[in-house]
Amino acid sequence: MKPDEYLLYVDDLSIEYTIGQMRIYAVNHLSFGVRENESIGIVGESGCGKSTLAMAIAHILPPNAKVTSGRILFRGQVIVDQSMGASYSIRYNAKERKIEDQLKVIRWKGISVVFQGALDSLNPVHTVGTQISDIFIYKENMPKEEAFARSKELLNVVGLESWVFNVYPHQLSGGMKQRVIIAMAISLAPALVIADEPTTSLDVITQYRIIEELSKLRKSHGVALVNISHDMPLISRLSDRLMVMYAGRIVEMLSSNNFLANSHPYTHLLVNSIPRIEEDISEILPIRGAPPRLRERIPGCPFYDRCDYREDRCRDEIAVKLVETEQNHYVACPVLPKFSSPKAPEAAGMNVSGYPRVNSKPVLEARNLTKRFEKKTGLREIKTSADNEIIAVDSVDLSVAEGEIVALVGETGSGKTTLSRLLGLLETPTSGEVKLNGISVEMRESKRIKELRRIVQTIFQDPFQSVNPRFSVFSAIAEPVSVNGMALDQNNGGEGNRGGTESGGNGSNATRLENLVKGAMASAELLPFEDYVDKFPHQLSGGQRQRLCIARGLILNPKILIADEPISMLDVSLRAGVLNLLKKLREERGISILYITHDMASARYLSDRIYVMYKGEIVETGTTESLIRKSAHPYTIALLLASIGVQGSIYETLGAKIFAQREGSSPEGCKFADRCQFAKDICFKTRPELKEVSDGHQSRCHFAEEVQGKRLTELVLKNAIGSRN
Amino acid sequence: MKGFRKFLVLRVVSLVPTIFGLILLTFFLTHIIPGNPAIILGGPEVVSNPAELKVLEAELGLNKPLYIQFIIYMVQLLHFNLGYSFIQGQYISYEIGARFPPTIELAVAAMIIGVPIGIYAGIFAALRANQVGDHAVRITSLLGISMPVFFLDLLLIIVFFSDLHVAPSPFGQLSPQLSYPRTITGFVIIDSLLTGNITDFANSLWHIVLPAVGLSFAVIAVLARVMRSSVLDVVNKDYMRTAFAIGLPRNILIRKYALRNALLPTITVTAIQMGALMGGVVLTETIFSWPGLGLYTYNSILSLDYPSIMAVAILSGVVFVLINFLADILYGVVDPRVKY
Repeated sequence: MKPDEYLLYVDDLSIEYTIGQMRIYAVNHLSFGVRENESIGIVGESGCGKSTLAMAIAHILPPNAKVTSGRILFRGQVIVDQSMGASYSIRYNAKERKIEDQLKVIRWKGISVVFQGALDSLNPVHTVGTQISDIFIYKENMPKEEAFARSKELLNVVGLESWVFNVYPHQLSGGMKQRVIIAMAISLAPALVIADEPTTSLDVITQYRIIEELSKLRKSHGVALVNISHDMPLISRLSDRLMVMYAGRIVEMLSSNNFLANSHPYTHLLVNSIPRIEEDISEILPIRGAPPRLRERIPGCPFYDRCDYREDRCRDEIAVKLVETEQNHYVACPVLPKFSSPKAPEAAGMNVSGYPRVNSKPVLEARNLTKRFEKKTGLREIKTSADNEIIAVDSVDLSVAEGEIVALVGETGSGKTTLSRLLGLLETPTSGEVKLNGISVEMRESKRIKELRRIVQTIFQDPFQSVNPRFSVFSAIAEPVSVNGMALDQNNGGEGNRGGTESGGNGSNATRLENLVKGAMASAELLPFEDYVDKFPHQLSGGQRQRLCIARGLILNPKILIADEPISMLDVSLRAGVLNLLKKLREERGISILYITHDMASARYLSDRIYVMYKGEIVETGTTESLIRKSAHPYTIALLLASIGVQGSIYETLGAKIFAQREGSSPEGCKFADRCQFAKDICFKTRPELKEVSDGHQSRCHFAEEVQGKRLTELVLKNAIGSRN
Repeated sequence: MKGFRKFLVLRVVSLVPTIFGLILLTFFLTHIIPGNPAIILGGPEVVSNPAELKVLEAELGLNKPLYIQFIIYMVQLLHFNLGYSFIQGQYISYEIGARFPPTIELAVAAMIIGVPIGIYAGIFAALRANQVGDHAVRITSLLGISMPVFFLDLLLIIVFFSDLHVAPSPFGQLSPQLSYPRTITGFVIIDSLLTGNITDFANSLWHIVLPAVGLSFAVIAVLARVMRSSVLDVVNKDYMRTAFAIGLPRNILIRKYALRNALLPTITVTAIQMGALMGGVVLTETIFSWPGLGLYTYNSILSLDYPSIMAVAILSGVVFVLINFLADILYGVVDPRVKY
């Protein structure tokens, strides 16, 4: 590789962070190049150094980051090396100012960044318009009026209406903020755009749109892209080449249209650890252990500890060298094992056609459940709608039978979390009723609620926030027992004690409690007991913390677990473990699970039935395969197409209307009518009811049979699989 | 704006119990402490003559039960009548009406000097975090916080009046040879400007500088510290990283992008400092013979003039509550994310 062939060339780069006395070796001797108008994807889990690398290229690392070797060249000019560093600083000193002077022409004019929009990447106290036009005013000395006009043009380029110019960032949805940031990134026509997790925490349909938007811009503006993501299938749609990073190193580099033909064990596991909607169900592979914390230099292959194919020679320094195995395919693995293809469902002992023990008796039921919230506005805000109320959950009927896994799928703001809080007895409904085991719940009767909470337990999305950091693992798991004042008798010990000792119900209360905790931890695969019991949450990885939360949910031996996006905050390699655990819990304990997610693929992997939620309403429900293969609501089809992600497929089947952003359609009509290609007059006038389209399959669409008849998802599914082979 | 109006009404309504509590506390505190106002008013001859003392007590209303006295006091207050001071032979409302403007003038002047300097010093220190400039600001702030106001005032007088002769003599708002302008608002600086009396205007400005500087020192010190940590905090935010990546000019980065966000916590601190200022005013006014509430309070305490002490305490309390009310509203103006 010669540096002058490339627009951007990273040469033997190493970066360390210093936090107090501790050092973190974030990036280790990394080299690669990006050509003009090329798009490369950098894939890896959190903590693998991919963001550090991206921010180093943009020269905006925090001040505690130090470049310890190598350099970065942009068009032959050094922009990062040991003397220049790669950090920004507000410090008032001459050296910093000199570096900033050198970078003046590079910043935004040469390299710009699409930051993760859902975070605080836009200044909260200035309007969107101010922030975009300031780029023109202060970087190009453009007069104000011209800058405003250009900014509005830019907003149109990324598909935003001009009212966005006058509002504050917090008034926009995640997807709109992300597009504002894309507009900012292309404002000065840079040669290279770094997209740092451009679609993370966005809804699937918005994700799809952002990916299309970015690839369109790449063609129209001729920019090169460096895309950072943890989602390999997603980012492969946007990139020519993929670089897989692990522990601050590149472990594999391959062209993105055959990322399934990977050869590094880590890449292999990463690809097969998440269920993919376009493949038929096959077992997903968990990766044991957790990513290294990089507090010390790792000799040899960094994946050694977690690898099933490791050999002694992997410990040699030479093991981390990238070797070209085929043309344009580089791997840093001396073993290069042959992988057995993932097991077919039957072989993996899984039940495709539904769980046999599903009992028709419902454990959890909701009738006409409704929750309204008051809407609030700020002093400087322009109101975007006239409503003073938000209907988060709108007359929802739902049921979960004994031993059933039911998925509730919906996007951000669809009301699925509010619904889960109503069902988990954590919030009082405005109207309607919740039934547990056939008993109607009255939220005012706090004593009874306490008893009923033993039947239903919730696992929350964020395992980092939902455990008290001052509780040890033992006391966190044991807490529900003491809070609920549960008598430690044998009845309660019974099923919950499966993994514990034989003497379950005997002995003092303390030993009985210990046995309960042991049992719950065993069920949640937090083993061996002795290793974890005295630890504190900060000593656990994300996956272990989520297991802790699951153990805490299990200790009262509930009939049903509500799992609210239990894997969305976890590293990719840890997700499979938690999904498989939930599956196993149902298998072994016959527990019912309400799995709440935005991800169709994992819903398909886990559940027997699916509910799809849109703007507070259930729009479609049915058994998993029926709902996916014979979808009868345009919104479900949109969700599925977005997660399959074939370029252009959404536009072809559902039209550009699906991306309409306008809020508040006619109050009488169908809530989805504004975004629906198939909408006719009746859709704007009458609210459709849920109606049966086939056995147990219901859709809230006036033209459900017609939509179902088109078999849209099946066609695209076939197509997607066809294009892979 | 419906939400905001609702917030405003609720917030104003919530002022009522706050102020009532304030009055209740002030009233009972002043009445619980030992000392009989009748004896102080009547002097030694009443002590030796119990009958006369009884008469005097009845005249002052001291013979009624405490809660009756409180109700009478409340009714008076609702008529904006702060009571009658027997010691001064004066209605308190009248006296306070005359003394309130000079104090406000002094407090506002101290804030005008203190707030910008405090904010600027904070930014200055943050941009030089852990360098010489930062340490200098830190040491100065520490001095400002720890040094008693009266000591600082005396130092200022010694240096600027006695030694350098650049400040006027520390007696009141105007030099003795000048006459006060016609009272329109009660604020000497404003009145002299309104009546076109430039000599008085310049002279009153000259007189207010030294006491205002003395008072502002604590404000500067506290604000500088809050602002420093606030700026350092904001600089690490994602939106500042965005602004750095764009490569916006340094002064725009700081003034436009960091400052407004960093100011948010400062608003609360400023409001609390305004309240603290009321305490400092008592000492400063005494030293500079400033004809304001502070001096009045000082004299009232010396003569155990209960009704006056109560009036001043309640008035400063109300001012404090109102300033915090304003700060709450200001928050919504500065931060668009605050919702009502």
